[in-house]
Amino acid sequence: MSATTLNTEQLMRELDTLKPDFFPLQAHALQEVDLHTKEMYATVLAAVLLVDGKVSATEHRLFGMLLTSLGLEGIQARLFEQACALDSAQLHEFLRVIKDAEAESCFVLDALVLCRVEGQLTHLQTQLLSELLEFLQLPEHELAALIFWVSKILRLPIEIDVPQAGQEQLLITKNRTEDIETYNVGKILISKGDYVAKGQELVTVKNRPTHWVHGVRISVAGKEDDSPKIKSLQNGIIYNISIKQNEEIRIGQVIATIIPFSSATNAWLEFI
Amino acid sequence: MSNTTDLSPEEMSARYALLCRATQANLCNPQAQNIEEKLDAIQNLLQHDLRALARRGSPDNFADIYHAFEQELTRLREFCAFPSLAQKVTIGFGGAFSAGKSSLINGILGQRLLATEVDPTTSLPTFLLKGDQDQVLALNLHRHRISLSHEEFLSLTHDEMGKYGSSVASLLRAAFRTQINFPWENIALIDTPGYSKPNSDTYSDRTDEQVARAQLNSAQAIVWVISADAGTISEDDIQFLSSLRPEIPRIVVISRADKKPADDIDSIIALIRRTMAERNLPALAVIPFSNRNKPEFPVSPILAQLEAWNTAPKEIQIAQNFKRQFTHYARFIEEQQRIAQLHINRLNRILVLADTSEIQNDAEELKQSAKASYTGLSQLADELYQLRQQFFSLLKDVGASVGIDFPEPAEIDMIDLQQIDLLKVLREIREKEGGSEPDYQGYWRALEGEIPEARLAQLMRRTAYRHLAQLGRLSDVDHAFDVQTDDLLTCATSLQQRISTQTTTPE
Repeated sequence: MSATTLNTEQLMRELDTLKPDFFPLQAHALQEVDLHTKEMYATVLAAVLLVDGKVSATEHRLFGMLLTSLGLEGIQARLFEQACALDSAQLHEFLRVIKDAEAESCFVLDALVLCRVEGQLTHLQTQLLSELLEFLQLPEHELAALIFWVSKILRLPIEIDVPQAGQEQLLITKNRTEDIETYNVGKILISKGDYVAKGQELVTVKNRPTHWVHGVRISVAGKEDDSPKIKSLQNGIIYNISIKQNEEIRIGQVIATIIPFSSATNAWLEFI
Repeated sequence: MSNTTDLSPEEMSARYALLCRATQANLCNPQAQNIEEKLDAIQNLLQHDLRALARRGSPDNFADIYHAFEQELTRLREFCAFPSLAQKVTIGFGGAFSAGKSSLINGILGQRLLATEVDPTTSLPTFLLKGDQDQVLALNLHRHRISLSHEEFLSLTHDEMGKYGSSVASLLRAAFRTQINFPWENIALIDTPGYSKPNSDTYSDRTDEQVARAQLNSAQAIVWVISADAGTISEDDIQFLSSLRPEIPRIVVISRADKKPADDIDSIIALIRRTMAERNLPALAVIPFSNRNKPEFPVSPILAQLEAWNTAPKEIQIAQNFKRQFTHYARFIEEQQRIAQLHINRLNRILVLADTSEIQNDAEELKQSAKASYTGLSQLADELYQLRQQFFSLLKDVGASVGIDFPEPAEIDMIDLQQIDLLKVLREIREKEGGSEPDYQGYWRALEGEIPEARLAQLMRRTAYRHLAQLGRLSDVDHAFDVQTDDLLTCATSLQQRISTQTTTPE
């Protein structure tokens, strides 16, 4: 009886170890870039994890999974050693390669998820992340959007206001061939925080024009009912809805804003 | 000095018999023969395959790496000859020649188990441990186990050549002295040879730093012995201690403390403490001891420390030490690969920016060369990896034969993670560029909520839902979304079957 229990426990441990290999994260946005860039990227991530002098088992595991999604599996120990030897010249090299690869947002997102996964950010972590942000010169709206995504990934309450520059507006623009200026909102099919995929219906309207618009399209009648529908042309998350049912909406009016997905979220997409 | 002509025919005959045992090459025991073959296979791997690999690319300190491999292999042979050592916490007694190591051990054990000549005596590392009987065993020239009588063992001093005309000590690899009444169940003491320099009169190829270093590095704790005559810890001692694994706890014992006034001993203790602390070699304790003046310099503080170590968990470092050497070598290759990657990255930039075909051609040529170099290094890395796999597979086999577990340690468990001062470097860069103190507190506050356990489990791949849904045609996966690891128990068997047959990673 005890032997059976022991085997099961061992099996459970082995299964637990195997799972990240069998169920990896999705491919990282930097998976296809050159090895040098990826290693510099991962080395500085390792350095961020090391700022408190210890790396927890949870952090190790998630970092290992992230490395696999980058195509850098099996070199975790070396990266930590390299991280311990980082100097000013290597940081400048990191900045150069990360700018070349346009991976600043990716880096900040990954670093925040890794640092936050074990618990609250420590004083040293916030200091280091602040200095890194100064170093990377990330615009405010991009940082706010990244905090938004980190909150989504870790399922934290959304406590950040994303500036307009970080949002994408869904608005109706004037059609070239028709002169209709106003519509009436039918059903609003979305709520704040909903994930919207490209082509997804957002709102039905009571008129029947066929308009191509910027950001959204007013399509011909759907199959279920005859009312035209507004569909998203982007993937993202509804951040704000600025129309109400039966409200009259006009050309040029913003009906909603979304936080569009960026490639920085690629590896974490399943958690959003 | 004695002369061999003084020996009786019986003594001559006994010495001859001892010499025969010390050089006996054949084994009668099939199991020992089998272990020996595996150990030889490991040695062969190092002597031929590793060296062949090194000829195609190796770090400047490959000789050191190779030497460390050999030293560790020697220790492995010791463990194989005396597997009970694997169950012990080993305490290494180290120090300069004539520091009083053997006298200290005899004092601790309350009996004369070791030869204690004034001059450098044997270069034989000697293990003392509890056993079923009082006996002395040794590894002979061919690393086979032989028995020694108490008298034979004590005769293995510097005086042996003069008295017997032989040097059996130089033929033996290590001695193991077991005692029924050895006070500690879980510890083994190692009396290591003192170290000296090659140009000293007392140097021999075996009584050198390397033997002592290998033995002490394999110990779980160190008792470092300094003679009170020295007045402080010498620079040579400091250099030697610095070369040992820093995580090994150590105490310092000042031997022959009766030779100095009590006030002087206090000053010596303070000086040794301060010097060691300044050199980042802190000692758990500095204890004066004398065999002659026991009331004033008793053995009890040393016994108390040994008692504490007696309860420490045992830890065999052999597999770790082998892995460290492989890792050193691998790091060299990886560094070369990193440089080649950097070159390729730079040359790619040049290729993009170059506006004449001539420069482009030059850059392309260099890029191909860097790529070839990278490919060669990758091949070398692969072969080293294969060799390492083979090595640890053999090591595991050897371990299984003698009942010692030698799993290949994970690299990540062996690295010494240091707190990195990246923050300082970044601040310096910012201040140099005239930047002000950044303030992102508002952003960090936005991340202060609690991560739900279910989400954490999903991130860590510790939920059943996703896996069962992908792997199984199990009917009850829908409600298993937030199932934690513990709840996987019931699904474990079917999951294992599926995992074992799964060949591709699911989307």
